[in-house]
Amino acid sequence: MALNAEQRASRSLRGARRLPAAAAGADAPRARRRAGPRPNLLLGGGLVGLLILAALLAPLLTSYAPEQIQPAVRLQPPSLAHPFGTDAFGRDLCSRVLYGARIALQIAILSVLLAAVPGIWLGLLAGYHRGWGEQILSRVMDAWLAFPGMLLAIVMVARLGPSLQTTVIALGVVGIPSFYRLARGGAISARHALYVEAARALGLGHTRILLRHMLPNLASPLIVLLTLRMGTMLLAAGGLSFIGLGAQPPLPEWGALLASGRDYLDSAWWLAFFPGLAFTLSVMGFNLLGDGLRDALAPDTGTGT
Amino acid sequence: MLGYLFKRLVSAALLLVAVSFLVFALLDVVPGDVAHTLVGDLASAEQLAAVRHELGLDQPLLLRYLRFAEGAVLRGDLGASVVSGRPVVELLRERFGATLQLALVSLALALVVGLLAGLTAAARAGGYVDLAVMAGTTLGESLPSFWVALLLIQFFALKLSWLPVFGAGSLRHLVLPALALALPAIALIARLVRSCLLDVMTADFVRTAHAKGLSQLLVWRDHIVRNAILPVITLLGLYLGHLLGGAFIIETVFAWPGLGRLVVQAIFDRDFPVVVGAVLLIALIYQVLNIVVDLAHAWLDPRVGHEAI
Amino acid sequence: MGTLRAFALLLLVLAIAGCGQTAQSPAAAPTEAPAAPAVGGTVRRAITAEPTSLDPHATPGSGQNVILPYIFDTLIFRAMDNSYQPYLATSWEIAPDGKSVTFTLRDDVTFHDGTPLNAEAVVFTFNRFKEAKTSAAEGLASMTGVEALDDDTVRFSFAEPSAVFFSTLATPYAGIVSPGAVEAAGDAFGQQPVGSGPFKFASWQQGTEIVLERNPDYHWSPSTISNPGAPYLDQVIFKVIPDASTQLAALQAGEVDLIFVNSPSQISKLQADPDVQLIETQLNSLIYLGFNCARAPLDQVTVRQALSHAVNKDEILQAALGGTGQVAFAPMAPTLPGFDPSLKQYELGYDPARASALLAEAGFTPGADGTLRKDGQPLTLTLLTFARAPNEDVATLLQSQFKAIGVNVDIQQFDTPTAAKAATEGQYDLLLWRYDRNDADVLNVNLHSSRIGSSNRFGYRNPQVDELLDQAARELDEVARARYYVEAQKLIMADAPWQPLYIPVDVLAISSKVHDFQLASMGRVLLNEAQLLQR
Repeated sequence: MALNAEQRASRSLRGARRLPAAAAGADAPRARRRAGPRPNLLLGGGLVGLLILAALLAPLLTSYAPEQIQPAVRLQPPSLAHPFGTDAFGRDLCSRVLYGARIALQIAILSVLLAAVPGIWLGLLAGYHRGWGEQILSRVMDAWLAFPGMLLAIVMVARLGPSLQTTVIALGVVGIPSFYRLARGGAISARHALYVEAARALGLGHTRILLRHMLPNLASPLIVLLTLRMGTMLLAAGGLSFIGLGAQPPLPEWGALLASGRDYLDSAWWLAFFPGLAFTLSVMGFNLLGDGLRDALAPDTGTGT
Repeated sequence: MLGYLFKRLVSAALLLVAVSFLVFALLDVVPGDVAHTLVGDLASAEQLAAVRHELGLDQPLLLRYLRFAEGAVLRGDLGASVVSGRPVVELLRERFGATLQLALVSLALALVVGLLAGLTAAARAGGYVDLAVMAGTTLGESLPSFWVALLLIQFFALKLSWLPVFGAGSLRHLVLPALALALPAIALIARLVRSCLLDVMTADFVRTAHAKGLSQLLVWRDHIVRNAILPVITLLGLYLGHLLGGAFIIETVFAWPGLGRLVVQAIFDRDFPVVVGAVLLIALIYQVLNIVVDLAHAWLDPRVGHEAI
Repeated sequence: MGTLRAFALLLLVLAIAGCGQTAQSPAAAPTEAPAAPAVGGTVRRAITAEPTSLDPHATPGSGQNVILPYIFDTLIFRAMDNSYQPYLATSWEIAPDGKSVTFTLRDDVTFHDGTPLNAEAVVFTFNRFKEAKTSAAEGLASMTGVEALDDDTVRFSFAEPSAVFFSTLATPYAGIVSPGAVEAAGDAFGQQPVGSGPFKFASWQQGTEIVLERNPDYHWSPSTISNPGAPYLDQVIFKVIPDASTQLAALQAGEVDLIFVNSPSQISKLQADPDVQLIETQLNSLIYLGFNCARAPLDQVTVRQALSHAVNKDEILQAALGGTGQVAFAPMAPTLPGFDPSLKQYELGYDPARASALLAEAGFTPGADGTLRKDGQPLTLTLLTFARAPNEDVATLLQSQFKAIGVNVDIQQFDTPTAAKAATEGQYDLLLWRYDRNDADVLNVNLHSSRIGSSNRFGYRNPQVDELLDQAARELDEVARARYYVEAQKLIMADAPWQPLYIPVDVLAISSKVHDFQLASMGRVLLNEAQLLQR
């Protein structure tokens, strides 16, 4: 599903090229939507804000350490002492879910940055200079993309050992091509734009043109892609944890919490419910925020054409 | 057009070469090898070395790759599974059938439900139906699919006993895994259809068409749908590629005998010929789908130049 | 709607088929005479891992040994009390010097392909088995030859007496194969196996199921089975279901009849189900915590002893295993010869105060955060294990128990081949591992110093232990052999290369309509006399 985020983020960009009529005429509904209260942006921003707050304030919000094992209180239903109940080891689930927010945030931000920085940089270079280098790089990226991501991740886990870091690295590496393609596409359509020609005429260096002039102009679709990818990275990390190759115990990674709660669906519902809720709301937050940002930023992306 | 197609095919072939070498190189750095799988947990060092030698695993990477490429190109032979001894082509054919079945049903499900939801939402843009569709789709794409799969089993197979828990063989077996796989796609298609329709409906050329006095039906058929369908086709192509790559987790949960399970098991067994073959197949599918999607674009939208991405 | 209608139709068809079945079998007559068994029906068993081959001499991959005993028979049969019973061999005789064993075979056994199972087939099988590059073939390491004396007599010769030979003979890997079928099929034999067992191979749909059907000619089951003849069931089907939760759901939905469960949450879920019988099976297995004796600081016996004292096995049993299984104290599983209850006194039991004292003795002092340090370095250990339930839970508990005495543990869970490779290369401090072996030689394989670098992953070396293990390997008298192992264990327990944790219990969950199945050693489920009865 990773590709869908790319497509969504680049829609305005590619749409502008492929569907000039549609893009040009799209102002009316956009204007109408922009006039509204932008529920996507608000709700998405709110959910992501909540995630960040939970991650930051976890130690203040709960009095239990997430790893603290207390066999005496195992599998307690939610109560005042344990608002989300306890797990099979008597660990406080509320504390685990809250500390899990830290892990979720780390995965989302770090893996996306790891994918975005090389992806965008290579994409800008390729799109700006074109030529043989671009051809080769693009074919490599195509090969990369055609390589099943899950497989790549499993191979990396086997090599580096399963851990939070490996998860982040694997997801980041798998995500590079989508940023590359977006940045390259943007750079190709912008390389003959007035502001780039002007900068070149002034004799500015290539790096400076790329970073100071092109990148800011491509910022909108890239930010949208960054945000949307955070959601998909979380889902992918959850999948890895589900098969036991993600973050290792006792880290309260949400995917791992969900996986361990699945045999308790009818006897201890809270074990799967609260991590699932946190997981879904966070992914939803990133998705809504991404869509909201796209709607809010969309009109600016037409600059290239 | 033919020249363009030829160029695409050549670059697809080059890509397959690149992918095959990439996978060879990547597998080379994975610790542990098939000798461990073959000899067992408590093998002695000599036994391991003997097996490695017999399989040629002690030869250099490049030599192994060339040998593989020779067989693949000259004889269409991807080698045999090191573990079971069966030809890789045969294994892939068996599993690909199951994967294709699941992918097509899931695609059809996603397309029908997604289109209907998207159309309804667009027609009632801003209303309660629209809101409900948007809320539903937002939820749909945020749920972890393995979690959805477990809930589907719990509810439809155990509580209601409507559908089987696992396995393959009949249409009934297909329903739950297809649904679990289709859910995020339903959400994406519905939203894409909705927003494309909204964009196109108010576009200049549609206004012009209306102004020319064309009937509502003609405007929809020739202008709105034709233009709104392009991004949907792109999405479908990507989604199908994703599905045919094997949905390992869903296949595992439902014990579906697809490609994803084959590949992951092969990685765990270090049965590399199978991994290489499967990755090549998946890459080939991606390439074919990409070409098909681009051709569809060219056919539906004459403005697309052949220089397209 | 179409689906629902199809479903209704299917139900109808099933109902008709069901009627047909009962009508055919006079056994289901209302008299309920136990003498007339219910013939027919299919038992569907879930398997987690699909075997790659059903050739007994090929890969001993997981899942294979579950299916082999239905297709292949062995010369001797291992009963629940670990005694050896006649099977294809009616009797055997050990030469006075222990260097040869002569078996007399039944003369009325045929393979599924109709060819006779005679001395020639046995010779063929064991020559093939000895050549096999599998760890199971190690049981034949000291065998120098096998010859047919006449049509029903076979003699095995050895370089020196081999204690492990008999248990090897009783494993599924020593199943007698049809020479004709092997020659005809070549490498594909594993995909179309031909043996002489109670069920014969019918079909294999990769990734989905393996179907066996009844061998109508069967009449040579071991004497512990009261039905000497052909099984009553028409078919046994092995359904490949990789996910444990799905297996459970499939059992509850009646889509399979037989699964194994080992997670406490699943067991408690099934306890409430009236349609399921739960039976604990006894395995010759042990879960242990191994210490890397070649790596500092675990190369010091004091540190190993200290860490052993920090382990609270009762807590592991209660919290990670839901009270199933039993606490282990000796390296030998209780079902293997050489286990002795008196070894309990040598156990390094749970005693955190003693653990701390020993670590202080080894030079570790607590830092400000409570973590033990030596020369400023915090004591942090890597715990390696393979990703399979309940390892993750056990590892988590061990981590918290070590944390309590100020030792940090990083858990590393890998898929099994990766973990095995890392373990063999000694890339760990603590190894949470398990053995499943039906012979006491498991100690030779794991702890003899000649195995360092391969199956002795612990770098453990004690010449006295080596000597005792060597003696045991040559001793054919079970009592004397057990004595060597008891002495060896006393030394091993003091050296503490392992802290034995618990004896796992796999619980067999089987639909209550399946009657008269039997359990054999190593968790085998025999279906020779099983019947399907409606309750």
